[in-house]
Amino acid sequence: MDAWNMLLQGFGSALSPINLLFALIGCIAGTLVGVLPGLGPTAAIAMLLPLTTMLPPAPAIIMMAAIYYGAMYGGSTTAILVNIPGEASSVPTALDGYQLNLQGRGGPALGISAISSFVAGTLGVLGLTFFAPLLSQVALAFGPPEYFALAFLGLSLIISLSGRALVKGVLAAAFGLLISMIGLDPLTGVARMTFGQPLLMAGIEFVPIIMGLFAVSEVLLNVESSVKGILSDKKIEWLPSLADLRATWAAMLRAGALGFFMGLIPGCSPAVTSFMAYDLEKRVSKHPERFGKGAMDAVAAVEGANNATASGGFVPLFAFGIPSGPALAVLLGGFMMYGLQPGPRLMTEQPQLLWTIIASMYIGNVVLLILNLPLVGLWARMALIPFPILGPLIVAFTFIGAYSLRFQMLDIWIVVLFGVIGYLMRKFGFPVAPLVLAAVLAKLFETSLIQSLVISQGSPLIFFTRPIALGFMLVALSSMARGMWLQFKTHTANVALEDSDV
Amino acid sequence: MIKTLRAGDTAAGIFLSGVGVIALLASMQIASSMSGMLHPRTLPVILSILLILGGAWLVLRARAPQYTDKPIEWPDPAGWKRWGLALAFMASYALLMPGLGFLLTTFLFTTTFIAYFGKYKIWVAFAWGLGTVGFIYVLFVWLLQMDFPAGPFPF
Repeated sequence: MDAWNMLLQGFGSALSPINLLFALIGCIAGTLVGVLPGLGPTAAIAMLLPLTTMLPPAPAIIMMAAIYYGAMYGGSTTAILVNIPGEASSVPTALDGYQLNLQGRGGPALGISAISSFVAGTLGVLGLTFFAPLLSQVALAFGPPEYFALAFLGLSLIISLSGRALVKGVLAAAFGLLISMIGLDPLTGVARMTFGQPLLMAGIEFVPIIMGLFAVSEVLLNVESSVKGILSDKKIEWLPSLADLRATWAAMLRAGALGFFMGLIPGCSPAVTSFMAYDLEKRVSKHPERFGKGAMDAVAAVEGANNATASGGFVPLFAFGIPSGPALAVLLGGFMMYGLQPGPRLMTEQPQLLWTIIASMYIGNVVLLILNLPLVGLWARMALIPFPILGPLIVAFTFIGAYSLRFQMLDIWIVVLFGVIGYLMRKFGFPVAPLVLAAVLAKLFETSLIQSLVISQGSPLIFFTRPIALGFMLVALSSMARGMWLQFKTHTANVALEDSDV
Repeated sequence: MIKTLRAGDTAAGIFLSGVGVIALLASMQIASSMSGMLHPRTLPVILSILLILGGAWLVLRARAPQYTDKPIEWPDPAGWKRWGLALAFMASYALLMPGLGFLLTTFLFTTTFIAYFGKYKIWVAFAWGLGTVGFIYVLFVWLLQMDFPAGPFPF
C-alpha cells in the first residue's frame, strides 16, 4: 500500500476524539514547556511518561511527540520578548527577535515565528511521510568523522557570527570551548581544570551560560540606565503584515529544507541547525547588514529550522529506532514502555500506529498554529510590563531554568557570573553568539575528534577520505575562507559588512 | 577607569591572556591516560595558548596608532549604584536560597527589587512578590513536582 493510502488511514485514526484530545494536550504542554526557560521537552516528556501508562499506545505517543515539536513553537517566545533564549536553539532568534521587540515589532516577530514553525514543521512531516525509507540511510552513514566534520562546520560559522570583530569572536569561541572542557574527559574520565572542586567534575552546562549572557546581562543593562519599560514608545504592532510574510516565505522554505535534512543526522541538535539557518539566511539576504539589528527573515529561518529538525529527527527514530537527541531518546523509551521497538519491524508489524502518529503530526502543527497565533497579542503585551517588575521575574525564571537542569546551586552561580561576563562583553564589543555556539558544540567536537582518531590510529586524514566528512570539511573551509576574505575586503575598502553586536 | 574601546581591548586582552595562563597551568596538571590517541590535556592546552596569544594580539592591536578608538558608554554614578545593587540582590538571592528556600528568597528578591527599582508602594511590590511565588509554587512545585531548596517550609 502506498504512502498516500497509509496516511489517509492514519488520519482516520488520528482524528478520533481521544487521539485529537491528547494531541491538543501535548501541543499545549509543549508550548508551555517551550515558553518556560530551561525546562525543555526532554524533561517534560520524562515527567509525563509514567502518567501515560494508563493510556493506549497511540494517544500516549501522540501526546509525547506533540510535546516535543510543540516545545519548538514556544521556544521563541521569551527569546523575542525578554531576550531569554530558554534553549540553545533559540539563541539566534533572540539576536534579531529581541531587537524587533525593542522596535515595537515583537508581535509580528512572534507571528512570523509561529507561521514559519508551521510551514517548516509541515514540510518536515511531508518529508517524513514520503521520503523516510529513502532518507533513513543517511542516519547510518554517520560515524565519528562525519560528526567531527559537522561540528567543525558549525564552528566555522563563528567567522560569520563575529561580524567585524573577528579576533574578539574567535577569542570568545576559544573561551567557550575552554570552559566546556572543565570536568571529566569524555573518553578517559580524567578530571580537567576542576581545581580540586568536586562540583566542577560534572562540568559546566551551556544553558546557564546562555541564560547569563543574554537574560541577566540584559537586566543589568536596563537597570544601569533606569529603563522604565522594554519599549521606548507605546507604538506596537501585534500581527505580521502581508509585507512581512512576503519578505520571509523564502526563508521559511529554505529553513524547512535545511532543518529537515540536518534533522536526519542523529546527534545534530536543533541548536546546530538554527545557527546554520541563521548563517545561510544572512548569506543569501539582500540586506545582511540588518542581521543582529532586527531582521524578520532571521527569525523566520531560525524558527523554521528548529521545527523542521524536530520533524526530521523522527526519520531515523521510526526507521531504525535511533533517537537523534535526548528528547527523542525519552520518546523511544515511551515506545518501549508499550513493548514497541521503533525500526523496520515496527513499520511492517504496526503500520497503523506509525501512520496514526505521522498523521497526528500534521494535525498537531495546525493545532499549534491556531493555538499560537491568537496568543501572539497576549505574549507581546508582556513588553508593556514596567521593567522594574519584569526584571526580577526574568531573573527568577532564569534561576529556575538553570537550577532545574541538574538541581545544583552551581548552575545559578554560573548564570550570575555569565551575566556579568555578558555585560562586559557587550560594553567591550565582544560578540556573544560565538561563545554560545562554541559551548554548544564543544562536546560533539571533542568526543567525535577523539573517536575518529582512535578509528584512524591517530591520522587526521580520516576527515578528508570519507565523502560526507570531506563534503562538510570543504564547506567549512570555504566558508572560513569567504569570511576571512570579507574581513580583508572590509579593512581595505571599508565596505559595510555585518555588524559585530550579535 | 576604562573609558574607551582601546583601553577596553587592552584590559580584555590582559584578562584573556591571564585566563589562558591559568588554564594552561591547570591543563598541565591533567593526569595522563593510557587509552585514546589524544591526551586529555591536548585541546585545553591548545585553547589556553590561543587565549594567551589572542589576548596579547588584542593588547598590541589596541596600542597601534591606526586603531580607531571609540568611547564606551558606562553608566553614571547613580547608574553604577543601581547596577551594583541589582547584582547584589541577585547574589543575595542565590546565596540565601539554600538556607531560606527557593520560594521565600524569590519572594524577598522580587519584592525588594520591585520596591527599590520601581519605587512602587510596598504593598504593590508585596503583591507582585506574592503573586510570583504563588505562580511558581503552583506550576513548578505542585504541578511539575520539581525539587527546589525547601528552606524552613516543608515542600
